[in-house]
Order: sequence, then structure tokens, then C-alpha cells
Amino acid sequence: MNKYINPFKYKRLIFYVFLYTSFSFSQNIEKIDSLLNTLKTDKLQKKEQVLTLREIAGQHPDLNTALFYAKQSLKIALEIDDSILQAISLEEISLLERKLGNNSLSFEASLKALKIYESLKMFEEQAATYTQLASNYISDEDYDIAIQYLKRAKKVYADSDNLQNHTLTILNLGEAYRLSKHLDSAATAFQQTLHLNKTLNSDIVQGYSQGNLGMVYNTQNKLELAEENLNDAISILRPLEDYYSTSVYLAELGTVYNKEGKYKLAEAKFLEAHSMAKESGLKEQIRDFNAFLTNFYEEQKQYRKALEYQKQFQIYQDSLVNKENVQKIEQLKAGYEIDKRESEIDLLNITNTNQKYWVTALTIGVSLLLLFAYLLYRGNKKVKVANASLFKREQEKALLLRELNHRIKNNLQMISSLLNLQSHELIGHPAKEAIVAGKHRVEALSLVHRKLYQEELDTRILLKEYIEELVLGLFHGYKASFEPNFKIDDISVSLDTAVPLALVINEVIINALKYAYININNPKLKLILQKDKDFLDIEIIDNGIGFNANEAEKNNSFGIKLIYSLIEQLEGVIKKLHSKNGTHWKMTIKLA
Amino acid sequence: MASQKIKILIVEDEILIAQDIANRLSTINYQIVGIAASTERALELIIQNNDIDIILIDIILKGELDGIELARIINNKHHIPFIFLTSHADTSLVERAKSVQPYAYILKPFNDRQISISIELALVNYSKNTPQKELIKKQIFNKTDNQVLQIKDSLFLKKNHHFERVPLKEILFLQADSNYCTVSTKSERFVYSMVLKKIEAHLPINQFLRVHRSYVVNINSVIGFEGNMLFIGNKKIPVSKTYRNKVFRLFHTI
Repeated sequence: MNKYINPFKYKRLIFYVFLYTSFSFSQNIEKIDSLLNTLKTDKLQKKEQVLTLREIAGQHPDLNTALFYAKQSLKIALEIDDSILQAISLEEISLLERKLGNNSLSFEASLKALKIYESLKMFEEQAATYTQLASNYISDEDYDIAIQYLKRAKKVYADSDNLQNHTLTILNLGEAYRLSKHLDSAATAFQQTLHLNKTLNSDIVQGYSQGNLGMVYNTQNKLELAEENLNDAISILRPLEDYYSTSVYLAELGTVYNKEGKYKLAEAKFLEAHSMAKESGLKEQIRDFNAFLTNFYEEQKQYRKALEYQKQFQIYQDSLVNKENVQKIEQLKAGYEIDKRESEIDLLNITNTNQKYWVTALTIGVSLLLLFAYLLYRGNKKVKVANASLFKREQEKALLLRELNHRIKNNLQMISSLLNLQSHELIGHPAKEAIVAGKHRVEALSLVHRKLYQEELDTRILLKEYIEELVLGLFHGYKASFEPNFKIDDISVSLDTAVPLALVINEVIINALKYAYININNPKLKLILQKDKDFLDIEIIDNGIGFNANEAEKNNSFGIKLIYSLIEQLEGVIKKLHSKNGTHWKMTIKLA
Repeated sequence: MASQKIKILIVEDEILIAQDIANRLSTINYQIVGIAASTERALELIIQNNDIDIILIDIILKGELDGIELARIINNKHHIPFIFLTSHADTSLVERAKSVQPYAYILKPFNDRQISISIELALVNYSKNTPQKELIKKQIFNKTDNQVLQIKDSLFLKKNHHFERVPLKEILFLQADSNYCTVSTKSERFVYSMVLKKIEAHLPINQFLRVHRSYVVNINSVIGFEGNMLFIGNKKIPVSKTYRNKVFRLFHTI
């Protein structure tokens, strides 16, 4: 663990002495790069990660970035629940917050670290933290609290063997007393450090102790003692190239000489301090020394020089004010940057979580989709198979139906052919007429079937076409020498109506052709079939010899009976109208 | 030998239906040269009888070759008009039937009228060389006895619902009598209610010659002439002035 001890603080001239080795800037960069590389490429344990991150934070030249790494370090330390590592990280954070000017945050971190060390009874670490806290309070000019913390640290170190830390703590305590104007306590403290340094034998402790003691004496106006101690401190620190402290002591020495009225020496010391500060680029010191010189020359009434240094003072003052502003802006920026980073991290986390949700949702979605697709495919396949089998069955059905129709027609043809063949064998026989009549009846039936299944599989038949062909067929069969006259509506009727109707018309026409036109010069036959709402009116008119029921019954009793029976079946009525010449049948049947 | 009955071959494996058709056709004065129950038998009969005028073919026949294949052979080798008999079972069969270009169809179950119509239609279509395109066409029967068709070396004349065939060489002359026309052969006379000019149109011009307003003669049947009279058979036919030069140029006097 690195130690940091702040040996003293002079109002406006703030000294921090860091007792650990510092690297050059370029070395720092190299170190950081290698550490970052290690962090990225090597599979470090969490503990190692914490320490590496903390080290990066300690090395990084950009305080904001350093703080970011320190916080990362703390985060991992919390994750692995390692108290010591947490405390170390907190100390680093405290230091960085301090440097960034976030004092309250720095205190918070330090107090947290302190709590951990207390609970773990790690006294030296506690002491180091006390020192750190004290240093912070000194910055805030809250010297009483700083003194209390330093006293605690001092107590811890007094019980330990760590003489160096003990000495440095007393040195810091002295500085705190000095700043709080407890000049006697301060002098005592510095005298103690000088005593202790006889064992420790550190030039730095010697130099600082004497320098600070000189400053105390100067304030107490013990000018000789002050001059002596400051000169010793300068002669010790100058070879150590501690220009900061050296220049401060030189300026202090200048004020001593000024008080003593040794103006030449005073001027020489002021100018030396001024040039040393200039060479070392210590702007605040330059500004302060300019102020000293301005005051000095004013007192000496050398107003031209006074004005010159006043001008220089103003330039450095402005520059430093500017610098403070810049620092403030930097601090604000840092705060903003950190917030931004944190929100970015939050955002990344949220994005990450969202992505997780998305991936989950997408996975579920895709799974569901695949499931649906599969189900759809299966369903489709089933439907297809069902459709295919249905289609096949339909085709088979259609084929069977066609085959059946084919057979019906063929068989009707056979019946008709059988009757026809038989009638040929019965020339002159009384049965011939009956057979021929039977043949015609079968042919009338056949015609229904021929018409019905000619094109489409249907159960309706075109009345006009069918009746005309039926009647023309009979005219042909009976070798009629004239043409019938048709007046038939263009309608279709069902098979149930068509068959009986065909048989009725068949009988009426045959009757007429056989018996009506004996010795008639200008034979005529008119057939009227007209639709009247749900009924069909049928009229068959001839100009033959007229119809005698008795005679007709004798000749073709079966035919007449057939007509009446079929009309009854058709839920119709039949009337023989009175006519001068020939026969006029009027029938009305119900259309199914 | 005068007019001849039209000779028909029936190809049908349902023997009762075949006999029925034969009966019906005989009744209206057609001559049945035979009934074949198979394609092979039909082809034998066609070869034995080289003067068949029409063949009725049932599409569905037992054996390797059905009626359509038979029709294809007839189309390729024998050039005889044929009629398909069918109960029109399925469309693929109908399409195949159409491919061999039948001259008519008879749909079962049929009656006398359908048979007569289809024979007339087949003869008309054959003489005009127009096969029947539609199976289910409304077939209109020409009532009047005025159909005159020339097929090969014969005239087909319609009389009493049927056709008779008169070989052209048998015809002696045709005589007009107002709207009627008499066709005189060596043994018979046919009277048609048709103007002479219409019949003349069906006759080959290198064989028949108009000699008078009322007469068309068969050049080959002229056995002599005297003055403006031609002797044909035992008849004298007058030659009018209009046709005289043209007529007598054909008969060079020695």
C-alpha cells in the first residue's frame, strides 16, 4: 500500500509531499497501456482485476478517466465481497475526488474506507486514512478537525514501530497547528520532529521541519531564529531540487530580512524566489512573489518596479483565476462525463436486457412460427389428402354414373330392339300392334334418357327439344305424310315430369296417327305446351275424324287408361274439348 | 340392272341390336351386306364386298381394336363413309371418336327416325367431304324427297325417306316437267320434285349434256340421231336450236 503524507500547508502555498515514487508521464502512459492490455487479454481473477483497475486509476493522467477506473475497481470489489479491496478502491476514489475538488465525495469515500479498516482492526491503514482525512480538512481550512485526525494517526504510529510515518504525522500536525495559529504547539511539534529526525536522519524531514519552524518564528517575530532555521532549510532542500519548498522558504526569508530592515537582502531573496518559481513554472508562487515584490517596492517607494510587479501579479492572478475557472469547468465536465458514462452504462445494461428480451421473444416467436408452419403444413397435407381422396371418389362416382347411364341406355336399346325384332316376326298377327305400341313406349322413355345424359349429368330436360323429337319420331315411324305444328315454351322439366308426360303425349299422338286421319285430305296436328305459373297447359288438336270414346276404348283401351293414370300421377286434369272437326285434348299438369 | 339399293355394313357386337338395326334398315329399302361383331370380321367383309356404301360402327367393340380404330383403318384404306353408333359414355372416348372424323353419329337409344337422319347426314357430308364435327348436333331431317348426291360414279337419290343409288352410266336421260323432274334409267323412272337445273349441277359435264330446255341426256347412251332428234333407248329426244351446234359437234357423221 502506498502512503501519502502531507507534511505541511502554508496558507496559499499548499504543499503535498507524496512519498511514493512517481513515474514520468511517458512511463505512465506505457504502464497504463500494458495494464489495460493485461485487463483485456488476460483472464484475470476478480481480485487481480480490482488491483489492476486501481493501479490504472492511480497512474492515469486524466483524473476523470482515473476515477472511472477506480469506480470500476470498487464495483468488482463489491461483487466479490472483499472488504480490504473495497477499502483500497475507496481510498483511491477519495484521493481522486479530492484532486477533482469534490471534497464531500472524497470525505464520503474516506470515511467508508475508515469504517472498513476499523472493523478489520487494521490500525496502520486507519492511521493513513486519518492522515488523508486530515489533509482534506486542512484544504478546507477546518484545522481543528484536521488536528484531531492527525492526533489519532499520531497515536497509532506512536504505538507502532513506523518511525518515519510517526515523524511525518507530527510534521503534518505541526503544520496544522501553524495554520490554525497555535504557534506554540506548532513550534513544539516541529522541535519534536527535529528530535525524532536525529534517529530517522531524513533530509526532507530536517528541511521541512526547520523551514516550517522558521515560518513559525517569523510569525512570532523571533526573527533571528527564523532566519537561522530558514537558511538551514533552504541549504538542505536546494540540493534536493525541491524548488517549490525552497522558493517558498526563500520568500519567507525575504520577509524576515524586510522586517529586519535588511532591504537589499530582502529584495535579493524575493527576486531569487521569484526567479526560481519562474524557472520551475510555479505559477501560484510567481503570483504570490510578485505580490511580495509589489508590496516591497511600494514600501521602498520604487513605484515603477512596484507597478511592473503589480502588472505581473495581475497577469498571473488573471491566469490563475482563469485556471480556477477552467478547473471548475473541468470539474463540471468531469461530473457530466461521469454521469454520461454511468447513463451510458445503464443504457448499455438496459440495451443488453432489452436484447435479451428480444432474443427470447424472437426465439419464442420463431418457435411458434415453426410450430404453426408445421401444423399448417400437416393440416394442409391432411386437407390435400382428403381433397385428393374426395376428388378421386367424386371421379369414381362420376365414372360409375356414366357407366350406369351407358348401361341404362344400352339396356333400353336392347328392350326396344327386342320388341322391334319380335314385331317383325308377327306380320299379320293381332299381337303385333301391341308389341309395336310397346316399342314406341319404350322409345319414348329412351328418348328421355338419351336427351337427359347427352351433355351434362342433370336431372332436368329441355321440354321443347324433347317433345318435338318425340313427335317427329312418331310421325316418322308411322310414315305420316305431313308435318306437325308445334308451339312449345322454352322451359325445362324434371325427369319425374318428363317421363309420364312423354308417355301421355306418345299415346295421344299414336292414337291420332293411327285412327284420326282416315280419308282426311289435309291432315293437321297442333301441339301446344305452355307454362302457366306452376302449371303446364297441354293442348293436342287434330283435324281428324273425331274421337269416339267407346270406339277408342275398343281399339286402344290400354292407351287411354294409360293416359288417365299418368295424368293422375302428374296431379293434373284432362279434358276432351268439343270440337267441330277432329279431337282437342286439353290437359293441365303440375310442374314439379 | 338399274338403280341399286344402298349397301350397308353393320359393325356391332350386341347381336340383337345389330339385327334390329338390320331389320329397320331393310324395312326402308336398304341392303345389309353383313353384320360384323368385331373389327377383324368387319375388315374381312369390307374386302369381300367392294361396293359397300355406308358402314355403321359401334364404338365399343370386343377385341383388340375398337370401332374408332376400325374407322381409322377405313379412312386410310377403304374410303367408305361411316357412322358411329354410341351411347356416348365418356368424354375421352368422344374426343377419340372425333379424331377419325365420322360422317354422322347415331346415339343410343335410337329409333327409326334417328337412323334415317344419320344415313342422310352421312351421305350429304361425305359427298361434300365435310365430316360431322359435333356429336350432339340437332339433326334436321330433310323432309322433301329432293336430295341428289353424287358419290363416286353414282347418283344418290332420295325417295320415300331413303336413298337409292343410281350408277351414272345407267341413266339415259333426265326430263323436266314444270317443278318435277324425271330420271330415266334403262329399267326405271324416278320422279323428283326438283328442277332439272339443280340435278344437272350434280352431274359430270363430260358425260351429260343439255340438249333441250327440258332434257339432259347421257352422251354415252345415245344410239343414233335423225334430224334434230336423238335416239336414246326407245325414246326420241328433241334437240333445240340453242343447243344444236354444240350437240351435233359431238356426233360426227360418217
